[in-house]
Amino acid sequence: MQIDFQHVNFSYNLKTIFRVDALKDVNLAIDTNEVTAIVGKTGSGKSTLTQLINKLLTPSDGAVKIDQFINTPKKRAHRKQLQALRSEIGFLFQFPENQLFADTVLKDVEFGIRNFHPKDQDYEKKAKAALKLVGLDESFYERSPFDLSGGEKKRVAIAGVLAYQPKVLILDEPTAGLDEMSKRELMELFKKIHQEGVGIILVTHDMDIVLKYASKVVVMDDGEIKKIGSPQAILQNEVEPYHLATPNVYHFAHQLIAQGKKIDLNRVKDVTTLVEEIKRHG
Amino acid sequence: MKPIIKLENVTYSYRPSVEVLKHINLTINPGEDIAIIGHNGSGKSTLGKLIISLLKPRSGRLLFNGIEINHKNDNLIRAKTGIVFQNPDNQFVGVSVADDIAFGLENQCVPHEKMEEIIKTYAEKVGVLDLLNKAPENLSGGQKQRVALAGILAMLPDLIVFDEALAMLDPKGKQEISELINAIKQEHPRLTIIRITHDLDEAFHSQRVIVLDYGEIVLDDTPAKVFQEEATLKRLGLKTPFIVELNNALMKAGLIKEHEYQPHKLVEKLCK
Amino acid sequence: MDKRILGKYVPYDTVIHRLDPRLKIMAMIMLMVSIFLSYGSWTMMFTLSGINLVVIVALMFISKVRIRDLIWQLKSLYILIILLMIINIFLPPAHSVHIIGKIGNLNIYAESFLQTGKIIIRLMEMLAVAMILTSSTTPQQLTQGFSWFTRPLKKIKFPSEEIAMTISLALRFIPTLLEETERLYKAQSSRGVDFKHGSLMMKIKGITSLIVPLFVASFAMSDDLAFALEARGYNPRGTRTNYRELHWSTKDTICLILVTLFMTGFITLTAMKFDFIKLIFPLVW
Repeated sequence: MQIDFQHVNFSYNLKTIFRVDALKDVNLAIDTNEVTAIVGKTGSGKSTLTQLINKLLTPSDGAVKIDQFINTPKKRAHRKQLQALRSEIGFLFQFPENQLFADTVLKDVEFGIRNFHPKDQDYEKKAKAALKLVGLDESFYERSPFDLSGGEKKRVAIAGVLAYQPKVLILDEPTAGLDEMSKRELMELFKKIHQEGVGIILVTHDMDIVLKYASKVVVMDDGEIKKIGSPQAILQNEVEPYHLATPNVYHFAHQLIAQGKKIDLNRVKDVTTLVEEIKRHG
Repeated sequence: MKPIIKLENVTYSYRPSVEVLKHINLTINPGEDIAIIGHNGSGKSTLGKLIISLLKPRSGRLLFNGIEINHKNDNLIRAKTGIVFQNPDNQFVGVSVADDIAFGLENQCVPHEKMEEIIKTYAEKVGVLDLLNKAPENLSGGQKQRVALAGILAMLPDLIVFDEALAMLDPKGKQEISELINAIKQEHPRLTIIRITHDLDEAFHSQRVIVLDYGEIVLDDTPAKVFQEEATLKRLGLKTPFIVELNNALMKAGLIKEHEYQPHKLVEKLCK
Repeated sequence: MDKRILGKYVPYDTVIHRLDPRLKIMAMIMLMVSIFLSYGSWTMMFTLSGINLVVIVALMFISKVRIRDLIWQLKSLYILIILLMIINIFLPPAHSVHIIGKIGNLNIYAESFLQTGKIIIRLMEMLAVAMILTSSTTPQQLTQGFSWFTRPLKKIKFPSEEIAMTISLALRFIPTLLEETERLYKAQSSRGVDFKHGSLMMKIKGITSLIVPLFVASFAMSDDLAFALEARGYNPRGTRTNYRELHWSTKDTICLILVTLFMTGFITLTAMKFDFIKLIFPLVW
């Protein structure tokens, strides 16, 4: 799927004294065959950017093209088109476990399919398949989502989106509040989902995750796109001006370089590669 | 030295059948800087609340400066301890920054005339002096956590618990609050600090690390020693901090002979 | 979402903003009374309403409440106004005499329109007075003011401070809950909930998907809040001091005198059946 932002401006509370300009003339092409990470500090405009993709928001000016669909203030979207768009774009908000509401896990996972495709008779099969994908077996089907642990709830919420088989997943801070092991498990799950052909757009503060899982990074600040490139190319340079944290490996490598050590940053990706690089130069 | 906190054989459960903490024995001395780590659901937040008597043990006892704390005398511990929670929004009780800092003072019946000065002093200390009249919805998460800290500092506490206080902040907010906590600790060496965290790099900077697993203390030692217990940490799903991981990899590669956990010293060593 | 909520505090620094909330509450009550005083003839009613209107517009001007915002508020009440008009045409007020037209068998009286006009003017004046109060006084000041008036009731164990605390906490958390609602609205829209179209069943399910998580969220929030209050030493039955104290100053006293004078004058005029229009144009009427 191809997503194109063309001269997009967005302001909250336009025409009032509370107006906030969240996006300023944004141009961006996202190919969902690669994992795109959108990074920036809180309030940099990254959430606004993602919410334009499934038309939760409409640009104040400019257009966002999502395959055939055009999100622009100039053209009103038909209800059917809008639902079709949203069924293709799975959107997982931060702490998706907070959106659960049905009395059983299975019903909650079926909810999305039944909203988007009321005539689909296979909803139960699809819901069960989605639950299997996120690693929850049939013992969960009839349980109340409110009795589950935080991690299990998160998985139910993810299954609820995967169930209607979206082409793209937008993940807003998926690993917030998780310990290292849960983080890794979750990201491995998304990696698997991506390998099965679902595009991934990732919004996160965690640069280690960006370095490990993303193939392209979009750096945002003050409603503008500041940089686009591969995670390595972007993160090996100073990213503090954009209020991001340089990953530990690069931070340490920079200190070595400053002390006169020869290090080829392009070869460094994690601790192992850093040590290899130090060894290479004696 | 008389311990500030002593937990004796403390057990806690939210529901009768599920024990969140099991027979915890823990002694905390004044001025300690402690990190409590563990996976989600290990009981570390519960432990934090028990230490300052926001939750009462189901069995066992809590001693604060040698005095056993119960429902009747918990105002003793209230006046001398504070906690910063994870969610910056849900603990902001005032309608403005000044009102929020004032809240604890009001509860301690500080005379009205003295409040303005106290509020200004501590607002300045945490860097929110120019935000005194702002409403919470116009503040960033980091700013709200600063305000929470100011409200606690204004009470001149002996002990502060940070219950994943950085978890919901962006990297900039995280770094700033972390630095602020360190600066305050440096200024008040007698202040006891307890950081409940997922961030092992943060835990590495404290003096003592306590590792919890399903309600039990499995490790309790200096960070250098705790983070050498790779097998245990791996079993608990905890990542080793970057500097330890790097040290271990360098040792394996034969580039260093002994551990050096000070980054700048390690850099010097490698550049020789 | 439109953020223009009725009665939002606007942080200007006008004379009215600086007045004591207790004075403003008393003044509002007196102005409301004068708006509601019943009048004799139509002409007299318009005269007295006119006097009220002049005073209110002056107050709006001083406190920087924009007429535009008032009209915007009125616009949202247009259905009510149309309804009033229809009711007054079909059920004309008592003693209607001036027939100005006919629809079939139905007599159309001039009084029907006068009556509607009277109600609209009163409604507008009341709205304006309420807006002056709420846009110049923070909800906290209002709470404190009201709580001051209930203080004598403490003798009969009325929990006036606890209530004030509860209200101010509720006010504090309204924006947070609204934000959460908006987030949930977006989250559920993303998974296909169509809040505007669809069958009744779909709509009910959609609303459920919003309300259940909202309840869960507010319980979690109140849990956190309870811990936060306790950790900071709040004791509902204990005594506490107040950072925001009310200060009654000379200018509040002067304003109270002015408002009282205005109201007594107004009542006197009503009692005298003061009728400016008839006084000036006795022959015309």
